[in-house]
Amino acid sequence: MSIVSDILENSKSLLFTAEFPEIDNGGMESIARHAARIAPWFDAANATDNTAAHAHASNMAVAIAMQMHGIEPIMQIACRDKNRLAIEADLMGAALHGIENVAMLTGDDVSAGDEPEARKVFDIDGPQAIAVAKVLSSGQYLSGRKINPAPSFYISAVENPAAPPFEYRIERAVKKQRAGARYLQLQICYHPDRLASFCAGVAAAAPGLHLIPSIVLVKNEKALNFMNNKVPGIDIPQETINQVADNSDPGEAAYQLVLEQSKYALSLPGVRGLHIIDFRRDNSLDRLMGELGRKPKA
Amino acid sequence: MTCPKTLRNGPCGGVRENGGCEVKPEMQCIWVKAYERKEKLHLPQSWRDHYNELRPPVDMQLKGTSSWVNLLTKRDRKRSKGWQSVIEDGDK
Repeated sequence: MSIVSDILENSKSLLFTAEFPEIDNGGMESIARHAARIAPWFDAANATDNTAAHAHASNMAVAIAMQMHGIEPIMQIACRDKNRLAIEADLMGAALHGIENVAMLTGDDVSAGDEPEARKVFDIDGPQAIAVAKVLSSGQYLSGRKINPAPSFYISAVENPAAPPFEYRIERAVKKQRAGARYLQLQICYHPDRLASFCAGVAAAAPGLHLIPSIVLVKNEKALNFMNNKVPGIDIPQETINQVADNSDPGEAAYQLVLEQSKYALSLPGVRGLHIIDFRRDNSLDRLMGELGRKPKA
Repeated sequence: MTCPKTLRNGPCGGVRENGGCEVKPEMQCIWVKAYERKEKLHLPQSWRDHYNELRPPVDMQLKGTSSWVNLLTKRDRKRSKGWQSVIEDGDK
């Protein structure tokens, strides 16, 4: 059983997950360096699959490397670059290496990346990919060919509580639960009202579907402006950006915003932890975790 | 299929603040449009519920064939065995 599933299904503890940085160079030493920063504070970390349509070291290779450094991976599998055969192969490869946490997502379009001329695949979509993982864990491929013994997966997905149509996002979470997802990592959300109504709606309509909102540790308003202008599906109100930009100490103001977001998210129904994406890579991660009452692991 | 990502199961997480498509911002997301229409029209609830049905992966063998013929012969109801037994029969 994975640590993630044990915490979410068998305890009342909070789950803290991190985004493992993309790996382009630096070899296993860079894995070790990132692992050392992440290991004390987190239960698991996401091994991403060509984030934002940029090529990096593969989801599987990074997930295995994380395991070698004692970090439990949540292996993302996106539908943009792989057809259903390749996705089934990724799942079976994960099972071969004892990776149980798999996060099934649609993925950004190729136009979001630096090789927009590439062919996009999207042979299946996010909800179908969740269901494919469920089919495999029942002991067969999509074709019906048996897998004995069946691989053991703890399946998750993602959802964006702040993208239109807002009211539908709750039903979509229900759909993903029905397809086989046990928890959702949520896109970073700068509209507290939308996050609150999403979480309340999911807690009522899909009890047992655990929610893990994302928090992004940013240095200053530049990162907020970048996300607001460049990342489809993320909208940041101007007054939130100004709150950081107009402060005499933007770094501190950005930190305080993150702290406030974290506490708020943890107060919402259905929320069982946080997913933290650290773009600052300074001492603010340690500070945040301390202020959230988290004890570093020995 | 109007969705540039050929998604069959609803809007992705990239829908823009104004309801625009992630890939073609000048176009309204087709799933947003469908959602607004099904909410606005006076439809029986069972028809509205179709919007959130989990639709199976597309059978690429049917590319270029007539959807009308496939409807009448029920060829378009054929699912891969794993999907049929775990997702569709398992739901019943």
